[in-house]
Amino acid sequence: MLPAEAVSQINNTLEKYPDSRSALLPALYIAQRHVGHLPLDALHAVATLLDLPDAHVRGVASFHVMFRDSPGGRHLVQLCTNVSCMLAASSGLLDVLKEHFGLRPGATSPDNRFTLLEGECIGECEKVPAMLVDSDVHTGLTAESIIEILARYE
Amino acid sequence: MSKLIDRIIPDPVRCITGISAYEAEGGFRALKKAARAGPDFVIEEIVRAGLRGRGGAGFPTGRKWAAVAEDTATPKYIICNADEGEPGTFKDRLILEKNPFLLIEGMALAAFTVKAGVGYIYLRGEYPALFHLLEDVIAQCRKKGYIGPDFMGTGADLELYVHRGAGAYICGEETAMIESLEGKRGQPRSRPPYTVNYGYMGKPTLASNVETFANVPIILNIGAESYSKIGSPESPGPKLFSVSGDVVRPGVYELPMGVPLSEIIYEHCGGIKGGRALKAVIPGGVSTAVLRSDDLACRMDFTSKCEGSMGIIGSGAVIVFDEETCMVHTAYRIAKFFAHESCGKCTPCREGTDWIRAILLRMEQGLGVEDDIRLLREVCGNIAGNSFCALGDSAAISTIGFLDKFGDEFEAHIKGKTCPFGGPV
Amino acid sequence: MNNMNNMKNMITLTINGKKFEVKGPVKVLEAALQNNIHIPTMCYYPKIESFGGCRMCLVRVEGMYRLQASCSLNAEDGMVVETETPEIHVARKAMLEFMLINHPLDCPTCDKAGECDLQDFSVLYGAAEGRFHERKRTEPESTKDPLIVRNMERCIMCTKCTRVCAELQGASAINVIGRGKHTSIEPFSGSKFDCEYCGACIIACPVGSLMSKLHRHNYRPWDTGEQFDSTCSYCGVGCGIHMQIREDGTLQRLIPAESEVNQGLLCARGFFGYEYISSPSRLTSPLIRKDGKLVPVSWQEALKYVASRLKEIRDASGGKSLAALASPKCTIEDNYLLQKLMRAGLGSNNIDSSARMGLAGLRRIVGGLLGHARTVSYVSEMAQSDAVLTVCSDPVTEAPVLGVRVRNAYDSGAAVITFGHAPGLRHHRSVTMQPRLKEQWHVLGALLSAVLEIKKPSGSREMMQELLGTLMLPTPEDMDDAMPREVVRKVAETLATSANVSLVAGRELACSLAGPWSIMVFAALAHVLEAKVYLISEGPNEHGLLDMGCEPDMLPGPAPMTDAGARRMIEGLWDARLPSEKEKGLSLMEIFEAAGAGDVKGLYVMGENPARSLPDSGFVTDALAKLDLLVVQDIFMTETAELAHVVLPAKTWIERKGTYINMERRLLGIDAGVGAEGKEDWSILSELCEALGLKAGYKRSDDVFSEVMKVSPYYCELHASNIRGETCKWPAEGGDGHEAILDLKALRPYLDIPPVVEGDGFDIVLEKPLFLNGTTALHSDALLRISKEPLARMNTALADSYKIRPGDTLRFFSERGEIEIKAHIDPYLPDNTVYLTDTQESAGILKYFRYNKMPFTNAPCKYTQKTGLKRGE
Repeated sequence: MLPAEAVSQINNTLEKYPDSRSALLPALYIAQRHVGHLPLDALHAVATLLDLPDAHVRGVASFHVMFRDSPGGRHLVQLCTNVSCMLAASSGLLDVLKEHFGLRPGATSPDNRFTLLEGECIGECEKVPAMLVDSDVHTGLTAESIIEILARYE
Repeated sequence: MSKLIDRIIPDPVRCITGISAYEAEGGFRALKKAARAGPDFVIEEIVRAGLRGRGGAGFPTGRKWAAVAEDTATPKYIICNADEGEPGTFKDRLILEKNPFLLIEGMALAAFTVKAGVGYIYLRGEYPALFHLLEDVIAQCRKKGYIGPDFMGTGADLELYVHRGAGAYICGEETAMIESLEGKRGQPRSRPPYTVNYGYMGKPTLASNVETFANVPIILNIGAESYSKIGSPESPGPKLFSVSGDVVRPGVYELPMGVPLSEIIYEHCGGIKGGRALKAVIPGGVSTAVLRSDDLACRMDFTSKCEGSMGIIGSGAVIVFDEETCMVHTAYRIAKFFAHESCGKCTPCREGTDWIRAILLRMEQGLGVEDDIRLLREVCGNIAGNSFCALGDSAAISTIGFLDKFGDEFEAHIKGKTCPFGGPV
Repeated sequence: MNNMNNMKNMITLTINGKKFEVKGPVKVLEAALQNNIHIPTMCYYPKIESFGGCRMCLVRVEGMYRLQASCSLNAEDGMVVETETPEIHVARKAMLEFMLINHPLDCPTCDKAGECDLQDFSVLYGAAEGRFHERKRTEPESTKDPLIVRNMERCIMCTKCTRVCAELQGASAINVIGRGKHTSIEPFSGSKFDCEYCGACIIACPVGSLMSKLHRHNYRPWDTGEQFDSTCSYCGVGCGIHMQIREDGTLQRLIPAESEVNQGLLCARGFFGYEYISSPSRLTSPLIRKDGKLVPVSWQEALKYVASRLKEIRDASGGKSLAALASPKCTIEDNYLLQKLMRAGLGSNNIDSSARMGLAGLRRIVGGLLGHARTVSYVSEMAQSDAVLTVCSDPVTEAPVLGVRVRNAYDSGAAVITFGHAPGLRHHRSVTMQPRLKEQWHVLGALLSAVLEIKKPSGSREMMQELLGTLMLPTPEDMDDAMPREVVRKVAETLATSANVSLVAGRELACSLAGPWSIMVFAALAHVLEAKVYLISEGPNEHGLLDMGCEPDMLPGPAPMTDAGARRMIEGLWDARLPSEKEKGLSLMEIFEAAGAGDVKGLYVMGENPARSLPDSGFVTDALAKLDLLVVQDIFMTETAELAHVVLPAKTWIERKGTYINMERRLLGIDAGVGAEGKEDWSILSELCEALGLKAGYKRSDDVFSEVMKVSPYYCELHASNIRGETCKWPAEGGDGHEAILDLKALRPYLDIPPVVEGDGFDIVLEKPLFLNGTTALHSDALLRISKEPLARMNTALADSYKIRPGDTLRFFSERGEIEIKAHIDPYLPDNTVYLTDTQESAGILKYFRYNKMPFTNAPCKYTQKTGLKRGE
């Protein structure tokens, strides 16, 4: 299920920790990076590698918003709508995304390019509104800039 | 005197990410001093300085370090809580971006003092860029022998690793963070046993916030005496305030503890944007109760209280709202946050936070009924004091704060069957 | 612990105005409970870590600023606690309201109604009004699992189920999924549980969220009529089971009992495996073969026929030509009478049982060397071990509750070393040692050498001193190629430096191809390490059967055949002659060898199915077909019964009274919960004894037990202490008992290091399945529904060398034949070994092996000389 590269990356993280269970979050990150999301097969592979019960691994993965159990779009957009960004009218940007990309919170765009999450605070409150696209932070968004930024993600 | 040795963020613009720049400006002086003076000296200095944890609870740091140092069990661990998740808070991010070596120096001091060989920086999942930055900074320090086996000839060892969280606010709670680091669901643990004796892997563990670790080199650099004179007597030292919302100059401000809220907003941040009037301030992150414009004389430290509220400093995240903001909508957005982040372990928080959210949503949509305010207060009252950890309490405190201070807006929503601010929901 | 410490641990606290003294450390809730003050709780569960989630157990503690969860608060000296004040009632009512806002309130259709904590507490604290105007959370009930119905709408997230699954059972098969209000309890797959099906989660669930399908919508708590305590008969652990009988006399359900043995635990077999009692394939009438077909006859006709045929054969060819198989599934009383029938009625010493494949040899050598009292240890005490060594045994499948206790020990910090294959301990082991089969016992010998380098044996048991002086052992260096010496030394150090070591072994050790030497190595390890010894018996009454003299060379008591005093006493009591002590009886496989050769002409099989359960089963079946008389006494038409001349229907453990001796050598009772057709085994045998001219006249099984007590002073003692309600295991006061005194001289030929026997191809290791461990399991619908398809498991390297992909159908062959089986690839299995599921369903697997009789014990040791595999088409 996991490519050999992912397996060796996971094995490399083991040395950071006194036990294999502690390496679970990094292992899940690695698995998701390689597979795109975390289907049961991937969770089972991680569990086997770390010698953990399958259900334990699924329980931990499902606890975190960063781990996805379904494929979703090619890029994950997390637009912050928490208080500081709310004050900068980030909810207006949700409308922009809906109009321009057909993106609704919690859903994937019809062209399978983006999955949008209405996010919680990403700690960029001095440059609001802010969003995360995959691992990239974008701040000070406007209706124009958000279209322009997302256009860069194929 | 170089700013580097007495300020957490010496330069709001420059990022000190090369080790030679840090060294050139006085970096690692505290560590060298400690290596000569010994662990007991470090603890004494922290105790004398009166440093209190910057994560929100304000526990005396010296006592914590001493407790871990005294525990005879091995191995011991140090964990830096960089899971900065309280909405409106971004000060730790700034430390890590601008002056990351200061944290490493603080952690090296801790490792040396409590005799921990391994440390983890539990970094927010939402800060991916910092993950790589920190790994690079750690590698630089290790190469120069500031950490690693027998670092600086102290006989102490320290291996530091960055551990990335994955999007769970509750993991900022100390025991939940440790559970999460252990590869479990990040749910808080019962205390006792306390982290200092039974933390990561059941071993003595020193867990502190980024800002707390960053304060320790400053104490050693300027001396406990001078340090304790900064700020208010019961909460000495500098404090980073993350200011966001409707102010002219949002950002992180490094100010002495005890600074009045009004000074932060009007002097440092340039007042309210667009010349509008201030309506409300959340003083210490969304877990603290909202204040009105007439509460601004409050001093920002661990002991000050405003009328009708508990502690106000929280994480030091000041969120400012102008007169055009709908308080029901704000209360709803915060309630939605807590409902989303409730870990689900205890009954009142799991069920109650979402119930609050649902009632507030109805109100904001103009579907509230007369009895809803009483119901909301009762639900909050049933959560507060009964939940497992502070998350449930915070949700209740936040909602009650809005009801107490802006009750008229809630009534207006119910009577008018609509949001008078044309609220976007 | 000394008195000072005891004093220090005593805590005086005030609860509701009264002072109590409790022993600490203890939680406030437990301290209250010990004094009969019940604090309501949903998430507290004894024996696992406190959780503090439900918040029902909130109490007021003087000096603390908020209400405290008493389940997670340590009681402290001087604490003043109030558990029922108006303030607390308000809080509890609030917690109940929170639990109920998303609860469907579907009590009329919920099987839990009537014994539901949520219902009861709602009545108590009055969370009656509904003021939740939002939409309730919905999630359809999941019935996708064959045995467990999962209803997440009713769930109040106490998480007891997941915690007992992880902390008690050690299975971690279910977990909390999601976060906050979106949490639910799910198995990994989200639908089927695919777990060990121990039922612990169902027992723990305080509401109707996890329910057994076996009594779905046909169970009302208030229908329960009589209740009986009994003993599960699926393995040697002897778990206490509580039978609930409906008013109409049918079985309502079985639940685990808080007996000293299992303390509330059960395995899938015990929890779900009882449907076979009402299986349509139960035998109901005696059958006699007429014109080649088995036809129903009356009991009178059947027993008359059996008696006369046995007599004919005895008179024509002598007692030697008759043999019997006793059964560890049958009671002490049954086995005692079968043995009496054979020896006194038919003059034959040819009596043996499946215990020959395990416990018979183990207890004789290990018990003889160490002293029998040393070979029995309490299952529950396993959890307190500091180090555990399992020797070619997977206790999780062979004695499941013992296996769970090994997991508990691991979770409490014990070092668990699995020597050989033990997949059930996969997540609960510190080290695993899996040498190739040909050398595995040599590696065990090297481990003993390494232990002896560190730890000198203490104790004054002469026999052990003599053995250690003469037993030849390889060094870790000698075995370096088979297992790196560092590993052997590290394990030795762990074992030698641990205070409380437990050793586990079962049939694989008893059937070691390296002979009695391996068993002596095991005994020596136990001696040097001063370890607790756990000898697994796979049947519920293997010890009892052996105690009753169901061995060719033993008399009931037990006493050796050659014990003149015992012979005199028994002959006097029975008023009959025993066969000569010189008459060497036949052991298990010898019986079939003699039948094949025509020397044994009549065989009486009680509760065994040798055509399926013995190695080289093709040969066994051929031998059975040659018999002049085959009498099978069983509850089902087994493969053996199909070959029989007479079939006699018996009763199951749920339908009758009697006694077992479990692997702890504890005397346990079974009770008649429901009625059934058929006769109890002892009563069939009693009638046959009478027909053969013996004094019998037993009216109840108790009468048989009374006679057993006359034969065996130890049974007197066991019985007496049982009546006193004491814990009693055999021999109550230690010592060797009346059992065969081991003659070390007889073991002298086996002291040398055995030669390494090379074979072709890869190793074959049989994996015992947890669910299907015998004929009764095969007739339990529930167990069949969860049983997994038999697999041939191997690692990637072996699979690649044969170009095998997962799921391929394979054909395995040995010199005994071929079988077809599906391939499963697991990269973490050792090299050059294929693991075959040993399901009783695919009888082919035992056909695939030949056997050698182990010298001294006569245990059949399975082996193959050539193994190969082909991809099927």
